[in-house]
Amino acid sequence: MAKTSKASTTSSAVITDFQEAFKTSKKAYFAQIEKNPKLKLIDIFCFFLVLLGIIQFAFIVLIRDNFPFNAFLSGFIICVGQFVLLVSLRLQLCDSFPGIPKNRAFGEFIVASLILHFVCLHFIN
Amino acid sequence: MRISWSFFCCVLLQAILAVSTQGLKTLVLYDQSAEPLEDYSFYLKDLEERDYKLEYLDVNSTSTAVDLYDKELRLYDNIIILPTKGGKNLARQVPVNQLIKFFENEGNILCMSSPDAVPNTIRLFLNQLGIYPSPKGHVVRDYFSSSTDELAISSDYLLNKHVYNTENDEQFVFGESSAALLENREQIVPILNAPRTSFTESKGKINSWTSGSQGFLVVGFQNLNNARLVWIGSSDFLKNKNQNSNQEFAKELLKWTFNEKSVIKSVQAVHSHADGTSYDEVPYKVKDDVVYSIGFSEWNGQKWVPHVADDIQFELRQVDPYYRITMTPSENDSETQYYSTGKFMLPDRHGVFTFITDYRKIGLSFITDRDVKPIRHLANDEYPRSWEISNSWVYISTICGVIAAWIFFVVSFATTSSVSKKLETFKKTN
Repeated sequence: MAKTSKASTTSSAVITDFQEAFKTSKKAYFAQIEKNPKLKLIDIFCFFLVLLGIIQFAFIVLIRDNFPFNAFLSGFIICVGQFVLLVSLRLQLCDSFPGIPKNRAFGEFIVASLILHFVCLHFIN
Repeated sequence: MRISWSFFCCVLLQAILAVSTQGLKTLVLYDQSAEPLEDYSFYLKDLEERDYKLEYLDVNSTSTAVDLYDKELRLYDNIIILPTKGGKNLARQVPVNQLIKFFENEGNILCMSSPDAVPNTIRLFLNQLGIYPSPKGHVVRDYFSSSTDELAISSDYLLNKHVYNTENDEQFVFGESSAALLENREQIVPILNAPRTSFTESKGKINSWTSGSQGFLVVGFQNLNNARLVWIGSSDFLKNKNQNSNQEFAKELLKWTFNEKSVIKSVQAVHSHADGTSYDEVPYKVKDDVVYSIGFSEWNGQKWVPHVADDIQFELRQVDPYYRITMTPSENDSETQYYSTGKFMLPDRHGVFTFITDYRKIGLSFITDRDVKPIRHLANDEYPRSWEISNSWVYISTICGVIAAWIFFVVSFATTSSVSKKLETFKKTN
């Protein structure tokens, strides 16, 4: 009896710890994006991309057929690729890499994205 | 000029009167001392009435080899070997290899043996084909049969309807007969089985050559050139004295042997696109719809008539058959019955394919009609574009959405300042 109560107390302690940590990080996160609207913009775009990826995957599962498989791949890959590029841009905005100014990082992001779009548009056809 | 005209007319007349699809020149080898030729006159006369040119040769008359060939040209179309006693003379006149060569070159052979005359030549020749006649002295006995003195076989024991087909219950008189064992070969045409209660008996020996339905009394063989051979186990079967009971079967048997019946041919095997465009106009590519059709004719003794069957199959092969279609009868004319596969889609595989009809029925001529054609793959502009496939609309709109969102993002990213909010909060606190 004592053992279980002890166990329950430890598990509830873990949960409260976790809630605490979650609350703190959420707070820190919202503070961060409040501070910098560019980060907010990036995160909204990332969320949009994840949503599109999920929609496409759900479509394939629903119709149980991946027939124009190259089309699916290019649709899915553009989401993943854009997501990766956005995350790397975000990393550089928060904590810029030594020797690379933020404007240059943004320029590189644009070039990489254009290449990605070009490749995906040609891969689907 | 006159001579050439009359010669031409003769050739034409012969072509019209021909009863067999092949020639009619026939060599008859006989042994007057063993089985007089007169005993077989009924069927020989019947053959002569059907314009067969018979040449007779007594095996005892000469001891030199018969010329079956003039250089490469075959001199005879058919050979009939009546029972002979002296095996040596026959071996000298038609050696086994000569017989084999003759048979391979589309010559038909009718041969016989009887328990007291099994010439070595015929035995060795038949052994090459997978037919093993019982040795000298072995006689087929059936102690359960109703007729005690002579062996009589009921028509129930007939095995191939293409050779002889009868509704009546007939009894074939065989007298003293030998029986053969058969190898398992597709070219062998078993014609008459020995009764289940029969066996071969040899005087003074315990072992028997065949027992029950193992043995065969009449056996045919059709080689891949459609030449035919018939072996009859009894010398009495074709004799005049038995003509009343045997003649229907024997006549049909002779007709079958000399390619007068159950001879079929294929004509006009064609394949094209389903809309009628031929291969020469537009070569095939993968997944094209095509149609294959072929005609079959059968020789009925006077002319070609449509051959009707429901088991003719077409195959589309590239090493393995990709299709095996049982064809259905389509249109027919006075000579030919046409069969068609109907529309079918070529497989999604490019390469060299064979359009083949391989029709081999035991008792009928073997038909193989093949045409080799390449099937090409799709060219790079023959695949459907993404927007033609409704499934991919989802993915296209995703890509467009991502690009539009990206443009919007870039514009708003460039126009928003990273510290504007911070400054505002600054002002508020102030």
